[in-house]
Amino acid sequence: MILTLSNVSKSFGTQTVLKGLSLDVADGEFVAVLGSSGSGKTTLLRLIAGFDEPDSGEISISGKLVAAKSVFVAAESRKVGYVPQDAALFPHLSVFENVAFGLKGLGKAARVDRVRQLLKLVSMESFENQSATELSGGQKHRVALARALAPEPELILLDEPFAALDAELRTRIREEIKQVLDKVSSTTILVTHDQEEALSIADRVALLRDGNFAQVGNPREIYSAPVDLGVATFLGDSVIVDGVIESGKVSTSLGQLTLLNSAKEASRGKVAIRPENFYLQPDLNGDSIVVGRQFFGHDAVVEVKTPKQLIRARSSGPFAPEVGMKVTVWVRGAVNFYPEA
Amino acid sequence: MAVVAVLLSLIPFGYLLVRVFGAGFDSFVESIERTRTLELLANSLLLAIAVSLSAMLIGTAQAWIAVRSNLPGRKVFAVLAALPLAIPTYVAAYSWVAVIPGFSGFFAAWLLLTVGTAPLVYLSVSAALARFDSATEEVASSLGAGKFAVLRKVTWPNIKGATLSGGLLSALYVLSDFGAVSIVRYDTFTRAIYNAYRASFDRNLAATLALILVAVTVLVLVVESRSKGRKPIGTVIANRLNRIDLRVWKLPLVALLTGIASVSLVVPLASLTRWSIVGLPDTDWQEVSEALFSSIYLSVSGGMLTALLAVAIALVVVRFKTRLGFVLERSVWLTHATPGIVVALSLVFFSNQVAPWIYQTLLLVLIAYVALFLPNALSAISIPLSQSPISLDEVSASLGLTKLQTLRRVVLPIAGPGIFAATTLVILTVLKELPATLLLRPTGVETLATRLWTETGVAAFSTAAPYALLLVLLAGIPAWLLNRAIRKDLEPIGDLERA
Repeated sequence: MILTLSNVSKSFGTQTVLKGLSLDVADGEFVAVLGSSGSGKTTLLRLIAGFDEPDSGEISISGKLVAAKSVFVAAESRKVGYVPQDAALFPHLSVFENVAFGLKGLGKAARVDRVRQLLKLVSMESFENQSATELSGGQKHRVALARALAPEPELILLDEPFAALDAELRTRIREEIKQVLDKVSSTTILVTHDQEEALSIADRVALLRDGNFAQVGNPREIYSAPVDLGVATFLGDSVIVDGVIESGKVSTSLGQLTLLNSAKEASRGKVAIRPENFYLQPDLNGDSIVVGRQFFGHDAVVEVKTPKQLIRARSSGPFAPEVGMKVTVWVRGAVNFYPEA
Repeated sequence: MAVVAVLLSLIPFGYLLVRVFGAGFDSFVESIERTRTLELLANSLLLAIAVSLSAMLIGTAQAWIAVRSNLPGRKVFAVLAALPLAIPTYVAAYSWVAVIPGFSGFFAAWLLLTVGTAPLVYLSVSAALARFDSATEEVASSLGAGKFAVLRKVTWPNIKGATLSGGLLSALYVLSDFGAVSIVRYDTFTRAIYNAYRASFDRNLAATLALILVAVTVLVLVVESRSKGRKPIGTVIANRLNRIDLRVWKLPLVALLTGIASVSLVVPLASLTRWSIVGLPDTDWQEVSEALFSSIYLSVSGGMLTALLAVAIALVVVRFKTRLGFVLERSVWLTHATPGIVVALSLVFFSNQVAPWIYQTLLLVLIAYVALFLPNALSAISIPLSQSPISLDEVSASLGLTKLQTLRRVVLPIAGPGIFAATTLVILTVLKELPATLLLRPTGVETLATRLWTETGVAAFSTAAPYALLLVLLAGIPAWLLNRAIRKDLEPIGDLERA
């Protein structure tokens, strides 16, 4: 394990931000910590980096204890690379000097080689003599990544590094940075509030909610099998429908649905259905009617009034039914059932 | 080091309290009754109120005209409005008295301090006006508000805070001013304190007066911080400022601004030049160069010491954000309200009774400078230090650098030029200092400021001229330029943070 958190807690004043977190991160793994603002994800990052000290619990990096009761290894001795949200390049230094900043014990030639190699890795080799302040947002982040990689850290921390970029640039820089990190087989922890970002980039997603990991798993698991209704609704839209288990299926107002998880016979609870799992079949005799439509180009969200409730379904853009059309609602694939407590 | 600095700056204040109340409450009441205390208090307050009102009026008008009107020559007037800051008020007082020997009393003090402190209001209001987005005015017009209604309901509420805080600075300046009111012989608290100290060596009286003055000043500050409550409404950085056509008002306003500039600049400079020409042939260059040397020696050592301590405090406060740092910063601001004459006086008492070996030494003068200028130095030095955001320290730590290495390789390279400029500014401010130097300098040591004061006191205007001229040239103008430069330096911070 590169990183081990065990039972890590942190409070500020009376407010408990992290409540006994545990997580193992394997060598070369890319873990995204996903949480809304105020969920404590930045606090977690700062504890790993060594900028703050946990109240209790232990943190080890590459098997070495860096934070525990009466143990605290300062940030400068942890070998943890850090890319902050605003890139934070040193404004008084050139691109080259920024990347070279953390290099130690290298001869001049080796140093130049190493910096050039890193700049090449992030496709910034032609900028080495520029001042850090002259770069655009995306360029700053690439240099910041090269700078963090330079001392060959055990672990790289990315603190919402793409939040300040505009949408189009964000996707591109995200891809580039992911490729660079894969190339050097870095172990990486990304902190973000953007679920699309977390799901698309990470090997594993750790969902932080109220100071605890609500769920940790690969992106597919997290998305298709949320552990509870809260996670289901946090990760994208879900339609929540009442249901009861009858002969191995869940019976709802939208019909008999196949179960993803197992549940006790005759138990009552709720079902979470993703908008894209609905299929809207145009049907003159259908019992449901389309009452609203938001068009997004590649797809559309269609509001449908069924006899029991209003649902939001995702439909392929050009083929989405018009407002006023009668439809029959089908649910494709299996759904998750959450029994009532 | 930071703790030592704060203790140094707190000595005077603390000692004054001990001194006055140590003598017993009866003697405190007695010394109030025995003197014209109430009359002096009324004089000081009247002057402070009158000056701050007129300074607010003039400064705000100047700022509005410079930033928002289409007055011809507004750029020239903009420079002229701030330039009086380069002339210490006691130098201005000297130059007026040298032209009109009977120039004295309330009116003289009011006029001098009004034109001397109006730039404080002008700078604060013009900064607020430049931040103000005039689109809101256009919206108001489109909603049917007339020109004066827009001015009253939209523009004024947005600059009111700046006007008032400028006015407060002006009032505080008046309360602590010693040189100018003494030269025009208007009896305020500061002058009375000095006279009580000088004439009778009645230290209890002087100390009592000093304590009352501090109390009044603190009261003003408390009232100010209470009324501050609401934040300014518009915080947008304005991109567009439409200028308002003054039409028939142009000529009268040009005349008015020219009038103000002649009171604040033309008369003093003309007088300085004239008396210099008259006095130069008889100037004792030996004395001038000695005073120049002492001035430079004292201000460079005092300024550098103050700046060094300010850097130490700022590092503890801004960088490491410790609880101790917070307490330190607050304590420093306590002494900010204490007038120079009070600091000087309390250091006299202190050294006489507690540490006689530093009385009449340069060390005592340096302590006074630290106590007086630490707050200013701190705010000047926090600006460049804040240009190196804390996230850079964290990145540096994550790259394996210790705190000291980070200081050397990140913080100081980024903040260095700003710290240098701020230090120079503090040195130049110390160069102009009068009351503390006057009271505390060792016998035989004369600076430009003390020479000017002594010669003016005996109406030797031509002898005083070279000192006045040197003070403006050496301290005033560079300080004014630097102050502007440091303020401008604030701008790039935005770029750094935007990423």
